[in-house]
Amino acid sequence: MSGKVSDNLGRSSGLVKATSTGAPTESASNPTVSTNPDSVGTRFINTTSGELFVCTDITAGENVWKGQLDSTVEPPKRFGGRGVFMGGYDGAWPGGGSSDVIDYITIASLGDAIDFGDLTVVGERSGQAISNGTRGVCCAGGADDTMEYITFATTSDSTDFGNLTVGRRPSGVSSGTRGCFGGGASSDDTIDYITIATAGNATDFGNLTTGRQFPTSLSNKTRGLFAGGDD
Amino acid sequence: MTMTNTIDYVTIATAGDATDFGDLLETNHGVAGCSNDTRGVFSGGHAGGDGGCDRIQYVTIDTTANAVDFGDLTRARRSVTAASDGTKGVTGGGSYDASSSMYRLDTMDYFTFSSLGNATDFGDLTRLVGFAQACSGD
Repeated sequence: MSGKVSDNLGRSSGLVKATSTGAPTESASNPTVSTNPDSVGTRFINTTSGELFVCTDITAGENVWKGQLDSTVEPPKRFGGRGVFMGGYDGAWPGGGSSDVIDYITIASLGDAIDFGDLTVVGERSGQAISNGTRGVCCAGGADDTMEYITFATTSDSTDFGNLTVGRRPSGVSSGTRGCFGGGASSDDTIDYITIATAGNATDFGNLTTGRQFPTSLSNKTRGLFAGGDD
Repeated sequence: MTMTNTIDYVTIATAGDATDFGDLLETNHGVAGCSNDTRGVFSGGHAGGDGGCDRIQYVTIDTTANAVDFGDLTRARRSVTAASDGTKGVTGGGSYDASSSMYRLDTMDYFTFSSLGNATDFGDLTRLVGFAQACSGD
């Protein structure tokens, strides 16, 4: 079948759900997560591409739209089904050494980790790396200001992302779009941020209430928490 | 150096200084952190007899309050990190002290965010490691 789906509004198979909501909204571009419909099943047509979208999850400002040409419009993610453990210090001290290993697991399934690839910088990290669901970003550690990233779907070595404002061992939080790294060296209260989808250097964000090394962190889509550490 | 129990928070979309959120249950460092959209869980750390802590504690991210006990890891350890799929959190690796040396672990154990309780064995990392950084994605 060719042509605009708007010429075929009567069909009722696949993703195109017949609704009683009247004619689909028309726009020259795709819907966004902030395109708030009245109900699940609401239709939206991109009149430029001809793609018809159906809302499959309705949450104000975080709506999910599925297109019949396989496009998906959804809020950014902060986590997913594959967990990765990057770098660190392998083995006992004294006697071990800093690591470039990346391991991964499938979180839904118990089992041992599997090799994912290697980091570009060998080093002891601290706390948490950050994610937008597609890309994971970690810091090199020590006084090194390097950030590097992996793509979760593809087992391979990491790639350079950019540089922190200050070399240290910070811990990270993510909204799914923006990631912040905080603390990481004695008396260090630095918080800097990156846009996870775009490789580049970090920018100053602000300061922790107290400087600290070895902090940890966690977040939801709005708020990031930094906890513990050495003042 | 003095360990702190301070929890700070930032609003990620808006650059600015952090604000006090509350306190961990004890002064601690080298803790793991992971979350779903509602609950944040901290596990392990340095507070403990052999340089390791088995505490799991949680906060509700959209409030401000002190952490509350969740359960225990399968083994006390510090310099841990964690990954989450939104349902389950997995704490991996870690360090502990014995006989004037620092040892690493390949241990991974998990908890379910919605159910308070002790962690359960998940499997092993490919190596004995502390000070790794973890996250998760598709």
